Amino acid sequence: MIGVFLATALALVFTALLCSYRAFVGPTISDRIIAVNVIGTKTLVVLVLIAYIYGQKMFIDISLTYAMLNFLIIIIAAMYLETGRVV
Amino acid sequence: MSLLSVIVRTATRWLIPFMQLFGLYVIIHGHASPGGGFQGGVIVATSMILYAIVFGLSAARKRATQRLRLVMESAGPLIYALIGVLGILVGGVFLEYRIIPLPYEPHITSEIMISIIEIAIGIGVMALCITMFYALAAEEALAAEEVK
Repeated sequence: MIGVFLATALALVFTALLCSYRAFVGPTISDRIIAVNVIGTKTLVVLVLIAYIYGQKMFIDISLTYAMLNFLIIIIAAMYLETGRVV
Repeated sequence: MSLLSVIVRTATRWLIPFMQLFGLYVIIHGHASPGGGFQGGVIVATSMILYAIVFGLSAARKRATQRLRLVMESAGPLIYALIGVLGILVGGVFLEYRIIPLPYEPHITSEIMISIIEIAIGIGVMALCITMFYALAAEEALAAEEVK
């Protein structure tokens, strides 16, 4: 079972690299924001898989924090693009 | 006065209690897992920062008033120092909570005192982070007014 988790994690890391191309090159800013959001979500899933691979529950906490920060970053970036200021 | 759409506002209203619950879990469980008072306090403060961004700075200032933040900023370090001085009062050194006379085993007493200290650090860091964000955001808003 660990082999399946490992293969899934490696595949997700590879697709995150593909997304990072869109984040660096992306023609519009919306492309970059969505690419960063997708990379964050993939990181979250990889962290949960690492928690299963190593059998350490604390990675779940870290992935929850990642989910929280991901939401916050997207809200702030969208707000900044929409209005030009953060608060 | 909110600039963001109703979807973001509703999602935020549903998400903030869970973020604060997670922060409290990190604070309370700090002595047995990664995390602790500082990290949990920052997570709870993050929920308040999200509130300020989505619902506006004036609404957030009403939620966490300056008076409340001042009391919490002072209460955190004071509780920490009180636990430390308690070790001196019973005849040890600063922060030697192992010998505080509670009706438990020494390592249980130690864990209780560490938990109280983590909660105190969490309260202090939370109020401090919120105050820092409010001060920076007010400066930003003032600069935006001057540009206009």
